[in-house]
Amino acid sequence: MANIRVPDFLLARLKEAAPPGVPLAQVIAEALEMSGGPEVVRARLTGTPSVARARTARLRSMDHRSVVLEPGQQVALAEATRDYVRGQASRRYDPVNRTLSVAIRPTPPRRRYTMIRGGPRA
Amino acid sequence: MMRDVSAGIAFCKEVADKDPLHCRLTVAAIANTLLEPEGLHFLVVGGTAVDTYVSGALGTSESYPARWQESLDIDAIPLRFLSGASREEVIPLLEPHGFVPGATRSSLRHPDIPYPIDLVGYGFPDDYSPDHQVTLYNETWEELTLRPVYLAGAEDILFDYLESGVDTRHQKDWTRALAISTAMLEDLDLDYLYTKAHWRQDGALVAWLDKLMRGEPLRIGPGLRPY
Repeated sequence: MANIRVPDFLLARLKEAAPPGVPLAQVIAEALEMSGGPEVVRARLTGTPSVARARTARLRSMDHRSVVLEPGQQVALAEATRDYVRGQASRRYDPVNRTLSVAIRPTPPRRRYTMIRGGPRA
Repeated sequence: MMRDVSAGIAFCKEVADKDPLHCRLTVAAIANTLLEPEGLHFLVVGGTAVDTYVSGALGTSESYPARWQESLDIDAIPLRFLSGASREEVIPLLEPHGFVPGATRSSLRHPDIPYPIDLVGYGFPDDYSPDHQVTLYNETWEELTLRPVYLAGAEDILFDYLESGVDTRHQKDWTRALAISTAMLEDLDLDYLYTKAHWRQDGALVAWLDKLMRGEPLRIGPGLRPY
């Protein structure tokens, strides 16, 4: 596995967000494998280029949909990884097809409607 | 009222692409505004109700991360205050405001809005408990002086998809039932749900409700129909 430097705050959040039983190294290794190399992952994990921000916004607008990322979609993967770190996405790596399924949760709850139990007939 | 409805339709057209769920719910609010003078209203059921309960739009729920296909219409049951109503009663009230017959006999659509209203199940309003229904308010609708939206209760919507999933073995139904149970778990009236399942006198239904409450994966069994 490549040796990459992950900032301490990010490491702490990765540890919190990693599902039970999944080693942290595996999470990072998957990200590395999918994204093409440590440089890309490091760049995306430590910074937030405007392009990545835009892609994040687009991903978040796709609530409840699985996004299948093809190998080479580095920016999207890194952003998905960041969402994963924040606990806002769940992901599943398919080693056979080398694709990563990411389910994005809506962020944050929007509370756009006031809900009252009972309809007009109640 | 004409002016408010026109403004509501313009608003729907504006948000149709970027906020489809809000657009669909606003269509229901417009319809309720047109129907209310005659003592009628729509009860929203089906996929639009699911999307509302699951999307976190109510601010009460964690979403359920799953493969998802958003609803493309507004399934609505026309109701009177204490009983069901027929399509023939509601269509004349909507047509003067630009709604025209849709692709099917039971659907209506507005030329400016990509989401049709599908009039469903008007023979069975009693399947949806009035006590569990939900009234939705929104600032935009208040500004446009539109009426609120009435949703069938999360329990009844969940039950619809559970029952349909068990009968049809369609993964989409199970996904939607599981999504509601995950998103609304803390708010669900479990006594009502289980009572309704027992009323059907179908042991399989109760067993599958148990599975649902345990959050078991999206596999109903052999012969599962794909998305």
